[in-house]
Amino acid sequence: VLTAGGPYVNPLPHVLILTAIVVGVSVTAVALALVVRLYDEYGTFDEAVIREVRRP
Amino acid sequence: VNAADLLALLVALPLLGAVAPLVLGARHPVLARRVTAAVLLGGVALAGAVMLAVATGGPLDYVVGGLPAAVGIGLRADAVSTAFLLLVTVAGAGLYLAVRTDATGPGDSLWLLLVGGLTGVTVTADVFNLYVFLEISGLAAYALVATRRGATAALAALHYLLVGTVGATCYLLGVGYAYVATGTLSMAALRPALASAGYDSPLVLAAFAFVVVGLGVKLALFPLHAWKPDAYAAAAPDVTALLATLGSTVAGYALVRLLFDVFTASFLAAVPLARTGLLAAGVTSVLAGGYLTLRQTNVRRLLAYSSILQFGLVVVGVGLATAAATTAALLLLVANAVAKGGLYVATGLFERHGAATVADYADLGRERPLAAGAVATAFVSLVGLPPTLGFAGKWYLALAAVGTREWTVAAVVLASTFASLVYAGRVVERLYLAPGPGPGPTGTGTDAHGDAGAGAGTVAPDGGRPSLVPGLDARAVAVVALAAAATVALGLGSTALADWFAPVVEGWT
Repeated sequence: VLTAGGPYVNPLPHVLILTAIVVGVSVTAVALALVVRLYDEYGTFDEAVIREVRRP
Repeated sequence: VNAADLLALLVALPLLGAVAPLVLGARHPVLARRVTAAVLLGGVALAGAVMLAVATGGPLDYVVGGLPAAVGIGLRADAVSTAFLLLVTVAGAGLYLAVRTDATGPGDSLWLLLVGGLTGVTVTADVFNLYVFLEISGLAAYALVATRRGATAALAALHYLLVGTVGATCYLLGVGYAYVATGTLSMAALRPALASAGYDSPLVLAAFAFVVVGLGVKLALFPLHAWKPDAYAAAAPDVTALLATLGSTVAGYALVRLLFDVFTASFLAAVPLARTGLLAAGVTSVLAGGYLTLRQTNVRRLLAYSSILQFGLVVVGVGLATAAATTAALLLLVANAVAKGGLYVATGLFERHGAATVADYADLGRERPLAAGAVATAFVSLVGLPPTLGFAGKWYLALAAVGTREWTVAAVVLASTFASLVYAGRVVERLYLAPGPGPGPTGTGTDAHGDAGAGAGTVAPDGGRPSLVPGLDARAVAVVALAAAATVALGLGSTALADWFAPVVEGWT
């Protein structure tokens, strides 16, 4: 790519988007793991119920 | 071996090493811990070697894969980054060896990933890689917070993840705009390219705004701070100590690096709004952090809010953008990291013996003289009194504020000292002057080393639980004492530290 002439597609944006997708998938995986832990603790996904339970 | 090759090894070692405890942890827990410790200590050795090479031969550059620097992924170490590199590796290894309590295989993997990601942030010369390393360290931090049992830790971790991800995404958007404006991601190439794209270009301005807001979330500037007290109060004590020492500190380093190495001081001079915005964000954080700190009873939350004040001062230093102010920002970052690391180790130690709030700290000065003395010293550094490093940082900052005739900023720096004096005074007063909850046995800790001997299985004088890990208390006291000694030693040697930063800082401003 560095030496060949002629027009070519810039690979950098592809790499950026691909990496961002990988990072996004990882974040989602960790977030889901945390949500599973929250469900184990509270038995619900409802934010309002969790807030109610946590109120001292 | 070429010295620059060490940079690649520095990043690769903890990231690859993170696999080992995960694989070994279930069957060979002792071996997994030893490998983790060896990887962390290897990082310290590499960082030391890099620092030596930078001290003798100037900045190091390494391009991954041997591609031309404009195309390849660059790593760079100069005087400023090596200081933070050494801080990251030493704190990561030291806290692991001294106070790591629930060392499981996956937990140790996360610890290595966190240290590896932060190491990457300090040495990268590429703005996109900075994002990737920020996310590696961020994800490891979220998961580490959640490793503590109980609902509070999980909820705080999810909160931290949501806010942290928004921050990282803002940063990535900023990088995207900078890329659209210039067509490059390398810091060295961005600097002239942004200048030629024009500092008044909407793309460049948007890039600046998103980068600063994104890093502002990671720094926990007011009003983007809410994740920090929750996460620091909910995580296990060893995790909190690591995060408080390194997490936002490295984001602060990244802010300094991006502002002065990528956008440069001439951008701030050309765009008064950017400079005013930074100063306003910093001043708001200082005032709000100072006010909120005064309202805390839990010591861990108090320290987290004090970080919001401290990072406000750092951003003020960045916004003033003179050589003295930039030096002040760097010194304050180091000062806060060392003091907070020691203080959070101390809160972990006191919590194991049943003291979590400021009121609980009554009489600890008599029961644990060495730890309490070290805590008081660390607070002195946070307040910014001589001879600590915190004083040196505030001194440079005040000089810069007066030098640029920013009287409001100078007044706020002074006011922050009084606010800090009040909250630190409250804790230190409880430690030394408040009567204890009951007549404690006399003779405990009458000599300075009395509490260092309170090791495994001994019941604390207040009837708290015995510590679970042999020698943990003694090692925790040693870390707190070392951190306190480091704030004083660095304070006395602050001129040398400023001189170490000077060649890079003078190139920036």
